[in-house]
Amino acid sequence: MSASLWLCGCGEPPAIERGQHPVPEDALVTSSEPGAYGGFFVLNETTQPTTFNPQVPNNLSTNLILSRILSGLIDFDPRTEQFVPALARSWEVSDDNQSYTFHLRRDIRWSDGTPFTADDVIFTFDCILTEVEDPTTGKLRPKYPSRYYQQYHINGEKLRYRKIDAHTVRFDLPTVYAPFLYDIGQPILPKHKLHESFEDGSFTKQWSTQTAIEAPAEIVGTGPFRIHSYKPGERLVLTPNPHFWKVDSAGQRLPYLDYLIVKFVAESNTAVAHFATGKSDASGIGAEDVLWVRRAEATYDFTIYERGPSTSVNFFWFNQHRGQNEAGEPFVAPHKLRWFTDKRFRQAVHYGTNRQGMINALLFGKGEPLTSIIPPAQGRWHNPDLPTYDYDPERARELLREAGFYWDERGRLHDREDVPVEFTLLLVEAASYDTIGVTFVENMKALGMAVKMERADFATLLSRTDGTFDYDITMLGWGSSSAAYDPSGSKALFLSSGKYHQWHPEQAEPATEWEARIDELIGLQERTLDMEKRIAYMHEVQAILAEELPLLYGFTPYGYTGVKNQWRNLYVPAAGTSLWNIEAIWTPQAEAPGEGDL
Amino acid sequence: MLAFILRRLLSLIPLLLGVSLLVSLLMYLSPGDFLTQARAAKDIDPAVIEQQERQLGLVDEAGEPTAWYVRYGYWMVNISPVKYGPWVGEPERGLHFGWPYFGESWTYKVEVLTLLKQRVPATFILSLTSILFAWSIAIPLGVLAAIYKDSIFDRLSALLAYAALSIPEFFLAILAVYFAAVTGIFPEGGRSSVESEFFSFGPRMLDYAYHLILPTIVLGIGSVAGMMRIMRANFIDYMQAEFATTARAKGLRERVIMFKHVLRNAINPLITSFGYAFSSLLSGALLVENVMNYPGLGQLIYDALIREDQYVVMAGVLIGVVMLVFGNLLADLLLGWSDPRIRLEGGSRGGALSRRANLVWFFILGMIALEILLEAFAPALLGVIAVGLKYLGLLLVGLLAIACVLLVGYIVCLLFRQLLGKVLRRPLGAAALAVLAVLYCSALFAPFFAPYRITAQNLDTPYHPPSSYTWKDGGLHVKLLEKEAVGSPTYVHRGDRTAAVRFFAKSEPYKLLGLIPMERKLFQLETDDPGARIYLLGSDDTGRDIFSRLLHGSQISLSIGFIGISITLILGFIVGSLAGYYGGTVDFVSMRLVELLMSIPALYLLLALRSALMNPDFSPTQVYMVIVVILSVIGWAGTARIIRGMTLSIRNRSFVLAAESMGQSVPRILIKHILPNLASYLLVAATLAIPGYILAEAALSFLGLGISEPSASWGLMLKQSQGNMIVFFMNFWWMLTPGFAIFITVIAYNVLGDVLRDIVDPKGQIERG
Repeated sequence: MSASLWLCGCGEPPAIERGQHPVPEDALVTSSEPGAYGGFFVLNETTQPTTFNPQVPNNLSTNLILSRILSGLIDFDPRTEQFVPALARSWEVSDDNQSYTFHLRRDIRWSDGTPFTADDVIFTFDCILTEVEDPTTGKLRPKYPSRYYQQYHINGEKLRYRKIDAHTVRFDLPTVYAPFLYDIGQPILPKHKLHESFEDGSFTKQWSTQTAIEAPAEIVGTGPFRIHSYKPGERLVLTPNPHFWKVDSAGQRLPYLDYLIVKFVAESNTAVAHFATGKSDASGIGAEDVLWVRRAEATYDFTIYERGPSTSVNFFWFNQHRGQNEAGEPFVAPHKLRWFTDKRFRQAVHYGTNRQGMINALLFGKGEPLTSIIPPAQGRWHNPDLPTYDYDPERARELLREAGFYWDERGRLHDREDVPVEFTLLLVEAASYDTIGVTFVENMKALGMAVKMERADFATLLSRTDGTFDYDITMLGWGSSSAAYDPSGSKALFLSSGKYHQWHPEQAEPATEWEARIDELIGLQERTLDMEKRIAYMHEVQAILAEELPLLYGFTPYGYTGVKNQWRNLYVPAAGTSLWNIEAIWTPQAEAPGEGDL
Repeated sequence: MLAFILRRLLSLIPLLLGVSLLVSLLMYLSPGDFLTQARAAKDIDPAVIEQQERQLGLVDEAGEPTAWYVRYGYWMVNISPVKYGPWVGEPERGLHFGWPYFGESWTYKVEVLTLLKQRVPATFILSLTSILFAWSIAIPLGVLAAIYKDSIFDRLSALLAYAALSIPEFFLAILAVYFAAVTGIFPEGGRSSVESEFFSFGPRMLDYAYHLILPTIVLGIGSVAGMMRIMRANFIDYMQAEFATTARAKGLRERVIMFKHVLRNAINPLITSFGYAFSSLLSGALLVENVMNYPGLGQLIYDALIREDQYVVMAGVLIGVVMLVFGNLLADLLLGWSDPRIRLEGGSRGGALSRRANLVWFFILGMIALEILLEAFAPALLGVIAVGLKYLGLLLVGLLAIACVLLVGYIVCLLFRQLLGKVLRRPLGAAALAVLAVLYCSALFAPFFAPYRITAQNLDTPYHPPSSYTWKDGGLHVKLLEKEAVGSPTYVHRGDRTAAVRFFAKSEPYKLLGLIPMERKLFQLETDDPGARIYLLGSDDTGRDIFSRLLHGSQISLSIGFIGISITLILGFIVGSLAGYYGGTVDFVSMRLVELLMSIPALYLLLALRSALMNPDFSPTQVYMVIVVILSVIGWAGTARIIRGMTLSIRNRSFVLAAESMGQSVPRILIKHILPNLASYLLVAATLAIPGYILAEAALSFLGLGISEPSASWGLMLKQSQGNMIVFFMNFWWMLTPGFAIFITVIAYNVLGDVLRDIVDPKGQIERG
């Protein structure tokens, strides 16, 4: 640091010019404490954006960065766990609960100064839902296929939307659909910039990383920031959007920060080390790292916020696919299918897995075993009264005996037809999974089962678990980046016909009674807007899953976020990004960059 | 001069063609493609994928997957400056000129050239500074060591050189990052600081330079040692050369002689090695860039290889090759400048040779045509052939490996019996031999020495420090520690719980050397508490005994070098001696092949081969074999070249001619007459090359591409310690012992190799493999 200072002094960042654009009357006035302009916020990211076009397949990092540049109609406030107005000033729901009318803010502008109107909203949904006839098949297909195309089809029917006037849009749903608000936060795109490419077919080529490198001003948005410069592999520098639609109670237009800098480091460990040595302003910190990062708290003047159990879940599951491949061979060998579809076998394996031990060893005790696919971080959706399946090898042996298994003189487990219990654990190639896998194998060995470990890269693993169904047991982790949660978001997992119904996806008819019951419950909760009822239905779903154990839940680490103490207006929510209100964050000691390191 | 440069540049074209062909073939062979990930993600509409497949040219009009030669063809047409339209992206009709187009990165949706433009300068500068760094340290040190030969300084610098040569580059990089993080004197990675965004030109350059310091040192230090040793040997030689004596007789001052006459001559080999030093730094840069987060070419290509971003890989490797050729060219020009005696034109090549060259080209084109025909008319057959070849290859390599090890073992034994006495008479040699003997013994009898299985966990004692001991009741006892609190990483000794250490105690049954059933181990704890363990070197993140894992891991790490070098030497001998013996077409073909292999930066070739050969369902043994194969395939080329040269000179000796005239068969001549004359060279080369294999295995496992859990190898164990910053910041130093083990082994091999070289070849002409 000291050495970089002598280089400094010659490189004051150019001051950000503000206030030259009058604040629109319709701007959102924030409730947070008014602050002062200036400051330099450095964040580390491990993955790089692959595009700046929200409708091109992308990754988590891309989404996070886009949320700084673009806004949606509505936002989610993690403090109140409510949806709040964003580009839409307000909205109303019709009496039959099937139409939503959004009233847009008047007089607000894109970052290049062009007015924002209902046409932009309509254009955004046109980009997703416009269909063209496929010249070869003659069938309709999306003009620009994207993952959102499916999202806006409710029960197979397309969402209808129309412009009422320049500042009003209306969406009509085919049925009552409770999670609609969770889906509608789509980033809105500027028609004046992208319409031409939409027409001539080059829409997906727009706003690539190349654009960000060569002409960042082309990427305009309504978010708090705009792109100043992008150097792949190094950093992305964002500066305030002079037309952002939020002001503080003192009438100052947000955001306060002069610069938001996203640094790219390949390794998440390096990112944490950067934070622990004062080189970035905020960072998520893994449960295993908290102990040593905390030692630097005083030196670098930061605070580590404990966020409780994280939203990430991981789980093992046995392949219960009862079908056959094209050659007529069963996906799962009959003797294995016999074990895997036996509830007692799954429960025994679950009882025999020392999850608390893994937490103690890998996370220094900073985590807890999961009991449900909906983790406790999701508040009321989580059912707190579920069986915990604490580590109990004796109970596991009992269950196995009950199910007709026995041990030979060398302690190896056999089923009642004398087949020794052997199967393969398929894992993603990653160090963190390795330790979990190795422990699982050891635990099963203690029960007399011979488990082999096999690794595959993520894509290969998915193609085997979802495509060829060529596996015995595997494990995956899910993380959620957003604080907003709705169980319908993971509908594809709960429904027996769903694509993510991992243990036996896309069933024509539910294979078991309990799967049929879950299907029913999911349908029920979707068609009522009564929150209490929805929660009750979802609690029953979780209870069924905990009894039948198609998914053997792993554990969730406690989440930690470190932020330097100089930042004000900070509120670290239990779930989602801790910088959800980046535009309101300010520092009383806005200084030249470089000194911030001291 | 100009003609020379032009000829050199022209020779680039076939080389680039060959390399790109090889790389595209390897990428095609590796399972999956760029869209595998997209296909697996269920929320992406199949229509998107279909569209992309078409866009990327992965399928043809009918939706059938395209063959590799079609993709290669597209690529060639795109990069060719002479274009024929209308073609893909070529709206203009007819023959015309156009800019070469290297395709688009599938991941970044950016033209490959744009990506490379950002990355190449970073890597280029880093390679250049580290060479300069290495030279500016190695030359003065080498000269001083030569002038003060056999002084303390000489000994000390030799020791340091061994040390520098024996630290794996990535391990050094980890240490450097930690050093930077703790002291804050240097940036712990990256290429520029955040603030530099607003600097003016001058300070920005200074900022770049500041970020270059650590990577330069880490990357340069490995080559310092080798260069210094070469410099020293040469300098000593030339100090006694006639011209030096003449100069002295004429009364020139010693200083003038040293720096004006001797130095200029002694520096030649270093200049010659410039090109290869440059290319090897390119691959070394990958690891350093990875650890130190330096946004260079290495990181880009590594990512691209993992993601199957084909065009980036192709262009990146090509750039690497071009840099190598330019490095060599530059080296030759420098050499011409420093030593006017050397004529740049080289030997003139007659018409016969160009005819041979044509023959080679026809052969290669024929093979490609055959492949294309097969693919076009009997694609099923090709798949069968490919799979068959893969497994046949693995089987053959297994057999070959055994044969090679036996043969080489036999030769080593024979030679060693002659040399052993001489080696043992030198203290350094004896020490190195003793260290190696201990290491190999403990690897061989690992199950006996190691108290626990490598997978035996104890989840209650992660990161347990090495045990401490006490003498009690007339026996050795281990103090049993417990955690300070649940979830705490510190251990304390409460009360005086101890457990007795029993030697030759009974434990779980195992098989020594895979054959002899045994129950007793060297030592065990006598206790009823299943959680009580003796941790000689501490425990890892799941409470496994590091000492046991280290011993078992040494079986892999130590044997890979041995088997690898055996295959390499045999292959190198077969190809090299045949080329040298027959000369002509055989020589031409094999040497071009060797050059092709040597021109691809080793680590990229390694990664490409790995992705082409590896299958996820391989058992640990198969993975091990694949790694041996990869390492040997890469290694044999250099050996073959040197053996060819030596065979060339031996084959004209009278005893070979006599054998020929007696009508002996070629294999007989090669084995009976030529091999014995090469044997001592092979022995030294092998000893000096084994460390390379050990380090390469470590690097591969470190990148997560080699040996994997639950097996153990030193590289894999080190990876686990790097993956967690915790190891450094909580001072779990025992997690780094595998790095120390690598260091000891490599240093022992290097010392032994140097001692052997001194005995066999006092002029030190054998270079490191």
